[in-house]
Amino acid sequence: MVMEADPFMLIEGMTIAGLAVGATQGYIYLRSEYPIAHQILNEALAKAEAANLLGENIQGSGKTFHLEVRLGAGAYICGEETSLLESLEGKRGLVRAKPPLPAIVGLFGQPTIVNNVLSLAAVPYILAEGAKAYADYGMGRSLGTLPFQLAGNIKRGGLVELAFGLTLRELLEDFGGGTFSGRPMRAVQVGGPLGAYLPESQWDTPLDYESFAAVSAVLGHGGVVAFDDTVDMSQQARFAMEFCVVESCGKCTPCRIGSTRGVEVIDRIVNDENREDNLELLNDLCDTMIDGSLCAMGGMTPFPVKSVINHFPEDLHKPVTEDMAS
Amino acid sequence: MLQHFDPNKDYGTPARVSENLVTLNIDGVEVTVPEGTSVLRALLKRTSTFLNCVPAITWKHSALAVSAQWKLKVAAAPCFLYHTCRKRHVCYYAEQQAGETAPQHHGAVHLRSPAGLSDLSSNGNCELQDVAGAVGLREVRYGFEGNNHLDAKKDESNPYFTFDPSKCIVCSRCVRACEEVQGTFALTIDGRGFDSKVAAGQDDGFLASDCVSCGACVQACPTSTLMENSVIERGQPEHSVVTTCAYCGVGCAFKAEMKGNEVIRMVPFKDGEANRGHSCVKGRFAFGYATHDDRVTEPMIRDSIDQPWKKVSWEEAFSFAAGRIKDIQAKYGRESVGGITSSRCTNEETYLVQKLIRAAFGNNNTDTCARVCHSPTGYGLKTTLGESAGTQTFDSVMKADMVMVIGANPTAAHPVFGSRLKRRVREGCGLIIADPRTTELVKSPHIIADHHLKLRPGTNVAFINAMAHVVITEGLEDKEFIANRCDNTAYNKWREFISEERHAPEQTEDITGIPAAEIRSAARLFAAAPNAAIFYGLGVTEHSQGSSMVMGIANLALATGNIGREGVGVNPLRGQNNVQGSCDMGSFPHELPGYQHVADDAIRGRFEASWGVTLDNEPGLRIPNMFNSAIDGTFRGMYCQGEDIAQSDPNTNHVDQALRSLDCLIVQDIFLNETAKYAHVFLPGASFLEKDGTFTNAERRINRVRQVMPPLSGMADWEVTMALSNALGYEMNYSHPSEIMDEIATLAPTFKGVSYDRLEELGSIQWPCNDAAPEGTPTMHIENFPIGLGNFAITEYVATEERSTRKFPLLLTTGRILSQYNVGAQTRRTPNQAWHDEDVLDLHISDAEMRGISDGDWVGISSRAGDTVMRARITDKVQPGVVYTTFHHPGSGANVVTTDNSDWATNCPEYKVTAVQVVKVNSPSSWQQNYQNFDDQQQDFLKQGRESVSQ
Amino acid sequence: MGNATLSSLIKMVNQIADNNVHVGTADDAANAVASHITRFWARPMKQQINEYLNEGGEELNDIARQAVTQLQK
Repeated sequence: MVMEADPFMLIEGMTIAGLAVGATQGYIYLRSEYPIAHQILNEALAKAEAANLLGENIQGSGKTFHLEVRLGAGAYICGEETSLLESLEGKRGLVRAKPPLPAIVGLFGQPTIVNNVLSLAAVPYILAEGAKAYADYGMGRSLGTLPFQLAGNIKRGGLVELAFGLTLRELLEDFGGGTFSGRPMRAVQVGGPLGAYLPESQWDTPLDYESFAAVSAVLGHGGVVAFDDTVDMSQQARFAMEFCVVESCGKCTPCRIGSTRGVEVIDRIVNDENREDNLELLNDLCDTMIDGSLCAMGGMTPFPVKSVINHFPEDLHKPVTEDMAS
Repeated sequence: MLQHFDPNKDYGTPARVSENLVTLNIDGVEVTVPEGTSVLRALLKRTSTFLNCVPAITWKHSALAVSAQWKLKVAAAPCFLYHTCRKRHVCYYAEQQAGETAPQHHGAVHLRSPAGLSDLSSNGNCELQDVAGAVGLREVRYGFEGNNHLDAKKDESNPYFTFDPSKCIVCSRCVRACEEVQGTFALTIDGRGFDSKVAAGQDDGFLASDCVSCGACVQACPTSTLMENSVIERGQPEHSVVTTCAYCGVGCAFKAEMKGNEVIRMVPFKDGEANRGHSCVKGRFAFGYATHDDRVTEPMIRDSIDQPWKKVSWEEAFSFAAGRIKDIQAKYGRESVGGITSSRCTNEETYLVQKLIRAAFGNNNTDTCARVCHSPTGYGLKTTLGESAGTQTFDSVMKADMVMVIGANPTAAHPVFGSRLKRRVREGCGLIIADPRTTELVKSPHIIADHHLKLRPGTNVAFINAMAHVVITEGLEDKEFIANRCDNTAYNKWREFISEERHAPEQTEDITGIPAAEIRSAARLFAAAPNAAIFYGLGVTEHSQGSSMVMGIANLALATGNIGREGVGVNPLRGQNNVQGSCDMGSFPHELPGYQHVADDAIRGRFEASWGVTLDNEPGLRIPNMFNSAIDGTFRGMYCQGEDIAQSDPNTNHVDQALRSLDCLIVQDIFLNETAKYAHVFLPGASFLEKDGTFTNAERRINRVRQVMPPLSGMADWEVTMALSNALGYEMNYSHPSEIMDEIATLAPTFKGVSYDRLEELGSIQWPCNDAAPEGTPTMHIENFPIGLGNFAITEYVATEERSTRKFPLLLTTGRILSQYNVGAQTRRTPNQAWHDEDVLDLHISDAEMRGISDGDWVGISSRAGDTVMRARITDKVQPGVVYTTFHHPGSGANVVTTDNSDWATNCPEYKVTAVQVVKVNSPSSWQQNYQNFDDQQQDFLKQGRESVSQ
Repeated sequence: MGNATLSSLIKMVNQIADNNVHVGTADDAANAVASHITRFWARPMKQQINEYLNEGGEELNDIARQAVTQLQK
């Protein structure tokens, strides 16, 4: 809720970052699904400009930094940094090849730094309190805090800002209070729609980037979605591929075509058509998408799929019933 | 899988030279390359199945900037990124372990094969098939029942190639070719995700879109999605010959790909130094005219032009022609005959024609088509810089910071150069356009000119003087360059002249129509740029002050120090494939080969010694003088090779009268063209596919033309000229064109180092090529000018006689378009007709409304020279008071209207300014009716000739 | 001699003169015109313009007349 509740933290962080790299122009690329954030940010920016904390000759320093909000239009892919830049330039959200990196050739061809709200909003604290104070939060190489988002079949959903290091189970039970339905929790997807599903055996993993990567899962932006034991994981796997079909920019073959084939192959598995061959094919497809995609859209779609194959295989081996065969 | 050695292997990125070497470990094998080499190139040196894999498909086309469309992460190996290896420790390598990496490649290729992997039409020309074979792919594991595009419809709208989206893998190479190489931006990827597909324009098919049919997309396509129709119909070519295009002065190098003696397709040669792998619709696709039914392949003669033709043997044709010429000379004098050399034939052939005229006819009545296009360039640049040729290479534009294009439309007339220029402008180079019309360079996708100086036709010199005035009076000149490199006496005189107030933009505004502020701004931009280059065309030369304007351009370049290095220069865009060569070879009546004046005794002496004959020591007649003398009865015989004066020269009625007056007109050409209708002897010529010789392009680049098929008539053009000369009694005895070039090298100092062996070695040579520059001269005037110091010429503006009057209130200017070439003899006999099957008159809506003319109406255009009728097209690309047309179709009669006004120094016709009136009509003009009758009659005579039995 | 050539020669030499009038004095201009004709005109053309001058040469402008006169020397 940084943008809605404390927009100046973000504005200050971006200003510092801009001045540090010699930029005179900054943009906040905001999802169109956040109209309140949009309104609040614009008011905050206006106030900051009026107070000469933005614009020309900030506070008599001789330095200039302009900041404005630009809205996206609903494409998931525009969360990928190069598609984001394309969208800001008024073009379609298509992934750019790297190199060159945005830091060399970015927005309108100029060197550009692109960061999440989280990173930029942390900057004022770090400069005010010192690097060590920030590093004292968290563990290992995951420093600072993350506002985890508890959602799905959870009793107490919402944002929980914590230092890295807590286990997933502690977050789900102590803060989340377990499932909303009261039934046993079965699977938890962490890191957004491209994150792996964690089975109960993995819930003691500490919430930090490296620990999650070590178990082939993704911490990402800290989104946590809980499912109880009524979930059909084969449909969750299918959904991952389907999501990729909808959101793929279409530039590279593994994502563009792989996602469509992924849905078809999973359907055949569920329908028990050459199930074993298709399971092998699904695995190969996942590897191709991971290794060959131009960006994380295709590159990470297999993560939830593979986690289903590895941790919830029984859902891919169910006998076909009347109402399923369609 | 067996790897055979491919000498033409495409390594994707250029080779680098460095003393430091880097060693990579690729698939367990060490490969050593110079530092700075791209990883891609190093990998492609170590050919293995991995390297044939899919990433190579998207990287290989070297004309496109290499982009990592794919990041291929190989299992159990470090990430492979496209990156230049600069340090030894940055050694990316791929481990190919059987079974580990293979599935990755399989997976990738699986996803890409929308259709079955056997496709009959591509038949070995499909990179996807190659890769599938290399990784051992047999069948598609996903089956074919899933979502697909196999039923997508073919787009066969373009006459030359087919787009079959059912085979498309959406790799975007075609889109990138259209953007980065051609610069037209006609193609895009429509839709997103799985529905992504290649679309031309607003998905309205190739022909209806902005596509200019350059074929870069066809060449870039790795599958058979975009494929030449000729390949689809006749199969894959078997072997190829590298030759040079015979259309415009860019001189693109092509690989003529053949099956036996038949050309299947022309593929731009990527090592061509003029075109670097790109081409336009004409060079790539419009070569079918060479084997058109209209080709006349047997000699014919007739006593008068009111009679049918008679097929005869070569011997009889030569003896008839020689006999007539000798009779005429006996009766009317040695100077009563002459000839016109071709700017489409090779250097060797043109050299022989002018030699025949000087040695066999015994006079200097030789001229060439440059008379009507760039003769002012010859005069103007020789006077100011000392050499009558452009100063740079085409590549040089990539180092320019500012480009000024005056009176030229390169995207239509020099398309490959136009694309290169657009690329530079997209990179940030400034652009100033001086043209009465709004040409494509003024505004097109991703191109906006900084200034469009929309001047009135005929006011060029006033405009250039105003530009120079600003530079000098505002102190923007390059003082150092002027002091060191220019004749200071001439400069001071010119400086005084140009500083006079009457040349100020504010004073010339009423003359030129260009607002003063615009001129000041443009001049400042030009002078301030570190590298500023000027490109100009016939909008400069085809005026009554053409030579003065060329000198004005040179003055500006000298004053701003923009000569003598890359990125700058004075660049005349020579029109024809060998017009530069034709001038070099001594086609002008006053100059022997190598631009050496006939009156110079020492020079003439060397030629006399070499040719074994006494040469006339005074200049001969120019083409316009030949016509006048013909009408007066003192000029009665002409040998005309590869030039259609009846269609291309101005004041058609005058030309008609002149040609009818001749007792003997010998035409050597590939078709019965307009001029041949007045001829008594028709000698069948050879197209460029049948020629062995050299062409010289606008960069002074001598390129080899290599024979692809034997001459259809049985004799090469140079053999015909040789035989005619022998019949006239002057012996010529060459057994190969290389001998002719060797002779030229002994007589023309700028060609001293040129030989066929040297051309094979170097690929092409830009003259001067002599002891001082043994490998040729890409950029001229680096240290010195041929005349020592640069010369400033006084260029007073003298208004043309051709002014709009009450009777003729509009000004007509003429030009060219992309799909047709000049008189259209070649392109009208190809599917290019689809784009432009008639000449139309462009007029501004205000002029049209005043006359009650709507778009598509028939209108009569009349001038003091004559009148004709065309269809009208209303457009805002011309300014009020100016109308425009092309001259590609003989029946349009564009030149019936143009006058005999010409440049004061060279007689280059003032095609660009004719005072006309335009009215709505409902029937063809009387000229057109007569023309139709004459054409019918002569076509019938030709038919009778072809059916006659050879005697 | 024919009219087509002569009328064009008169036009040409006048035009050359008009384009060289500014090179300096009248003598300079005439020299430039004469030198141009020597360099570029064919023998019959020179003969014809000379004859025209001898017959009066009314349509020649001043510089042109002076130049052709010079040529005769």
